[in-house]
Amino acid sequence: MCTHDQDIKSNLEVKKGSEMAHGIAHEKAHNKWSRRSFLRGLGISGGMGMMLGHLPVNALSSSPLNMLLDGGNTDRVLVMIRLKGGNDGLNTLIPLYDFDTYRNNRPQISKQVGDTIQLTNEHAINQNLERLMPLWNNGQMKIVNGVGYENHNLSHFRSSDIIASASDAEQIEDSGWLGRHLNDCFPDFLTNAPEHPSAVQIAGGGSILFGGGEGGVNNYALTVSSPDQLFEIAQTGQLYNLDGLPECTYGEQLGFLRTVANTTFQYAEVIKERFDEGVNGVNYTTSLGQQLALVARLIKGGLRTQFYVVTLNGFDTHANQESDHDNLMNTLGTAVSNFYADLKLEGKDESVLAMTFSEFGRRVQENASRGTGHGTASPTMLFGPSLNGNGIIGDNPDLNDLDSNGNLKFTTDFRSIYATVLEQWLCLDAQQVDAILFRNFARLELGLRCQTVSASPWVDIPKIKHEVRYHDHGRAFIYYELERTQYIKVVIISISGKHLKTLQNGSQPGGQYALDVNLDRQFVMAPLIYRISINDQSYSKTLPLLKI
Amino acid sequence: MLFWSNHFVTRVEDYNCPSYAYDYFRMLEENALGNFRSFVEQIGTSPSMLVYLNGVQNTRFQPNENYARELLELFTLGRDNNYTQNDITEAARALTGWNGFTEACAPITYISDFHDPGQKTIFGQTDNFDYNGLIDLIFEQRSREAANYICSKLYNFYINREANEDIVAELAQVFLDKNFELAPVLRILFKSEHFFDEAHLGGVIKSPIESMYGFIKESGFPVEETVIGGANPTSAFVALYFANAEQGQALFDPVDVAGWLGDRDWINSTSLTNRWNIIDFFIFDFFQNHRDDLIVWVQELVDNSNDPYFITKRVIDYFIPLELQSEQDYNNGVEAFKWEVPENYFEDESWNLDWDQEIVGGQIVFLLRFISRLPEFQMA
Repeated sequence: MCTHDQDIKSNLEVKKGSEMAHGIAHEKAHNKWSRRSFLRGLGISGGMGMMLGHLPVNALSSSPLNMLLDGGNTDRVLVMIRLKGGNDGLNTLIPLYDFDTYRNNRPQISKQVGDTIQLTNEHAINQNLERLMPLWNNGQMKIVNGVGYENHNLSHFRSSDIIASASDAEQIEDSGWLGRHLNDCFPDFLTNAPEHPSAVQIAGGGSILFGGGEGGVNNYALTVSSPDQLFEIAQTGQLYNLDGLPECTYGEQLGFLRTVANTTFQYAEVIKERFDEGVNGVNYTTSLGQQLALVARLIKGGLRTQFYVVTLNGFDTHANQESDHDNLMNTLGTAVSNFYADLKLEGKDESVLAMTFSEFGRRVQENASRGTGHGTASPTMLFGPSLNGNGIIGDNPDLNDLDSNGNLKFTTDFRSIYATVLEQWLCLDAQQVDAILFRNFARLELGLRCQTVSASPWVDIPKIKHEVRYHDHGRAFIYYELERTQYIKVVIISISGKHLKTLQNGSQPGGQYALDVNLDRQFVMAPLIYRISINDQSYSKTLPLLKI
Repeated sequence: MLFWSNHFVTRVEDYNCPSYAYDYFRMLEENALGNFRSFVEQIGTSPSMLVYLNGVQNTRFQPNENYARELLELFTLGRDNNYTQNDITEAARALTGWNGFTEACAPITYISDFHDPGQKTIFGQTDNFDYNGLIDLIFEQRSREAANYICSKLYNFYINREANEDIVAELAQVFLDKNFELAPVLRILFKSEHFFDEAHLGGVIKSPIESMYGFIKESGFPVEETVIGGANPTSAFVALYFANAEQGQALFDPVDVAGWLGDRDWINSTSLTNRWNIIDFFIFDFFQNHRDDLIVWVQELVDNSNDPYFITKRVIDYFIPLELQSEQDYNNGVEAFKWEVPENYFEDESWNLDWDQEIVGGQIVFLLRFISRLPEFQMA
């Protein structure tokens, strides 16, 4: 049953698509997808579906580079907490700096001062985040205010993509910011994947956050649909259970098929190993708690995954939001506080930075159903001792200076947070950071510091430009550029590692090259990879012969 | 069709004539539900078979035993099923004469001068058997063996890799009684309770072509007319052929005369991953070029339900022989299907299959991919 929001109080025309009643317009608002980019994010169009982290069978072998994963800044972990649906920032971080305007806009659902916990003169937090206060008081929590972007899109799908791809609102980008970072780290992922998953996502299937786009692998993340599924894998060391199958031919056949499927899932073993090594020292509740419990245990067990994404659903509070939102706040606060308490038991809390993200905030003005429509700017919360202090960062969004749709104007571009994290937590150099985010974004004072003077090992990988291009009705060419004379080898291999063709093997002077792939028509649907080797470094990408 | 091309095996590569291939294909089609005895008669003198198994070279002056051996060992009786080496040698003599090869790809005729007219002793019977005489002899003297052999092969193909002897015996009896008419046997096989017996449902692992073509056909797509490949268009049908080849099942080009070993041999981690990748191409094509049809197909399948769990289960169950092992398995599918749609749209039931078609289409894509990754999907 659909509740219809009617914004009867406002003189402003409610932006079409921001309210539930607008139905399909709700999602079509500024929905400038291209199907192509959507499918790339799924990992389909390149022909290398990596749902659940299936890898080419022969892909696993340790490269010298992967061995460098010990020490330095590479045991640092980033945990992203997704607030799915659009978090109501104003009831999360209550604006004491303009409390009257806040209350006037939300006579029904605004927080009373008594229902908040004061942080500074200008801000208070929702009382249900109480469990976070020890973190705040110990200098392990910061909040960036007014986070958003220009022309903030109000469609869940489109805005999630923008946030994940870190692109401008009008840009269609099919790679994620972390995917692009991982492109730099693992130019040869397809034929030389790391022993530990690069990223683990719980319930993030379809997100392009870890998509490498044209620049690399379709998706770096191991994505599971639920904490239960990850738990299963961690406990059994397998994707599929081989016990309890019916005793008959069907059961035998299914067992056989499951066994083979299990072998394609390369990471089950290492996840189980690390899971067994790790232990939870705290009792977690709620689904978010379950997810963070798994993450904590894997981190404590020594899994070398650097990126985790967990999800809390339910933030799209169009109606009767008070209890819903309060519950979500409670869940968030409890889970995060348990998480850090657990990590701290083994001193791991210092190497884990956590941050929330949401596709958008919500409207300043409440609606007639005691809820709020899609909005724009909202606060981002960060957690961990690595923050070296507490505080509210960024200018306060002005509740009286709203945009033409009655929404808050952002004061901090979300990419500034990402830039700061990339530079001061993952310790990439500034140029690399700006390349990943497509341009420079002002860094924030988040208190993060890099451990050593030397930059991360990823900077040392020489980059070369290479991609597949199509000419003459779809004929595929491998295009690359060399900066100077190099001894270079280019081969085509099948997904199983079988060598199919060598296109180049020898020294070439600096310049641009295009190699005609020219394979038989019989390979038109085979999943292929090309691999460029220069000195000790390899670079690989998928080679789709069907240009889509 | 698939069964018979894997039974009366020839290799396109070896004879390499479109006219022969057409002839072979047509013969399989016409006889698949016809009379087995007549099938055997016809296939042995078809040019594709004569070339492939060297019948065309088998003359009274230089006998070639190849076809004789395979006729008994693979096509009619089964390995070592009541025949001797001597039977083979003598049978080869009986088969001589089909040597009229004039030019490439022309029909092959019978030349009586090249036929060995002498007495041959086969299965303990002596006479001057010729081609038809030999066939008659096989079906008279070894009718039981032939019936048993063919019926157990049919059983293995359609039901279970391990034959149930009683059932096979029943079928063989019918086969004999009906003078080797195939239709009655198949009718019984497919209608029998045994066929649907839970113990056997899903007992067979699909070959690549079944896995992929089945997927496409089951979802009702006009694969023959479908063109994929955007800038480099190829008919989907052709692409499918090559995709099969990639997986080791080049249609009409089996590895050797025994046909593909089938069943578990199809599956290893490489071939499984290949299947997934190839199905992804088709799923993508559905989304790119037939999205609206895809959604309508799902709507019809689920009676336009707007319950994500119900929809997921219906679609999953459509593609697999038996239900999934647990609730959790279905829930994983539901999660995939819900994708990025925030929870509240399901809770207040405002979501349905008529919603933004880009999104619904995407959801279905996710669900189809999920299904294609299920081990159960590879079972028939």
